[in-house]
Amino acid sequence: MLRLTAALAASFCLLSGTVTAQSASTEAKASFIFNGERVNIDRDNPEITRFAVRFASSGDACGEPCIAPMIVADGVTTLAETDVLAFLMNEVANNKGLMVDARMPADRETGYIPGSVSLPFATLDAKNEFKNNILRALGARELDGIFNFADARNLLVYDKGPSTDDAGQLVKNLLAEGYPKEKISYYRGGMQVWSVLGFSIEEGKS
Amino acid sequence: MSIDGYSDPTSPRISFDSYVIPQTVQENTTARPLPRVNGMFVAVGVIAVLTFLLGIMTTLQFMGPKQTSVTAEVLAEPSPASLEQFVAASLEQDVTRQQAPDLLTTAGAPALAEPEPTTLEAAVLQGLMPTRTVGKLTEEERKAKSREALNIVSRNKLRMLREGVLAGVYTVETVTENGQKRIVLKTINADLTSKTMGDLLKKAADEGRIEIPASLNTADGNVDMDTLLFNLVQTSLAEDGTEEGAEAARELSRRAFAASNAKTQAVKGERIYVVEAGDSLAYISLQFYGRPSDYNRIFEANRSSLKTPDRIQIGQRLIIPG
Repeated sequence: MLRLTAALAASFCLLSGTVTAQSASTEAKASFIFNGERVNIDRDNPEITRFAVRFASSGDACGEPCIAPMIVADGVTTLAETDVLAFLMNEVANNKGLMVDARMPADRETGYIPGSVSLPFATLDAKNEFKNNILRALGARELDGIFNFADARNLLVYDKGPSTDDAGQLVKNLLAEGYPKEKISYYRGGMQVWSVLGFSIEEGKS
Repeated sequence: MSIDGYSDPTSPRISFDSYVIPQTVQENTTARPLPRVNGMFVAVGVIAVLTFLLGIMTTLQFMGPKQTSVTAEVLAEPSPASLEQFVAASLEQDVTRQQAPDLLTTAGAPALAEPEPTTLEAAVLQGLMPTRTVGKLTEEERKAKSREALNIVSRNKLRMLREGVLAGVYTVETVTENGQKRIVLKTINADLTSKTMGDLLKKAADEGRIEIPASLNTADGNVDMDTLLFNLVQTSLAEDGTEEGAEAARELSRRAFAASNAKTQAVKGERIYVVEAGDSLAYISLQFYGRPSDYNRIFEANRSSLKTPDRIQIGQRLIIPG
């Protein structure tokens, strides 16, 4: 009798859990025009296993257990997948924002989120002589070495995922240049979560 | 526009009252009764009147239509008695910075209570109280005198503002006025200045004594006094011929530029700004170039839709050249 009750309770929980999950989740798809081309994102990646394995990572990779924090910097919002899709559809498609890949080009080649652009964290290092050109390209106005970010685009920063800190470095560099924190958000899941969920991925140079 | 808003912990806090003999900042000088005179005062007064007359002669010499030298180069608008001329002349005539008291090191000290302001005070009072003057002045001459007196007062205040900027004891902030965000210059030594100066300049303009450049007319039909003051101070610094002055003017540009909230849209490779209520062409220029005087860049880029710099309309789309 006790077993039966437990089983019933468990199945009820499972059922209600499924129900809530269904009602709270939205359609995980996005379709928009970026850079003059139609970009489609869904969760039907036929090579899900290949990508999931590629981005999998243990603590050995960085010599110690490196795990990115939930909040990458004060005032910078952390986003989940549906927010990422909404950002792509609203901000990126309307030219108001950019989804930026903080990894170095060699890492990005292994697979990236469609509709994102490359902005390696090192290019905004204080010592990089092209830093100001990049800030201007992001929409900042310059006068006499001073930047005004009123026109700067909203940025959604990501990298390989929670096991790396490229995005954290990029956010740090952006903030150091005065980029407003309200204009920066962070997709912590990165390629590691994105690939496991079977989302669309592009490969190669971009 | 309050001194209390100032919160820079690194700069000394200097109150305006410490520096200016109170009467010189009184707006309604005409309403003030002259103190009861005694022999000593009369003697001082006579000297003061003479000094004052000398001052006016010098002023007229600088401001007269025949003047050609230094101030002519400062002109941005080719009007006979343009604003820049007015300002340049009044600054030119004032004590130079080297002679002026250092606002940073003399906090509270009666450094400004040197003979000049005292004389000035007496002169202004005398000029505004015709019955007390030596007499034989026609009504017109008396009016001219009170105008000159106003000039001197505004000159004195303008100097405070300018010195404040030069000394770096100022902030450039965005404040919300009537629901609009505005860039406003605030100095801790001369908070009164920007308010009263605005009024004085407006009065001078209403009387036809100075001309307000067309670029300062706002989209809703007013005159942009904040930007006017900003421009006066900046122009006077940039043109004073010293390295410090030029650098202070540049720093003022940088701070205004950084404070701007103006947003543009990219349309066919051009930056497009939509005119808001309260905008003047000079103010838009201040936001994008850090200088009100660069309004011509915007004006020229929009000649097809702008006949004169004062004809901007709310909602109008202006190209902002990069």
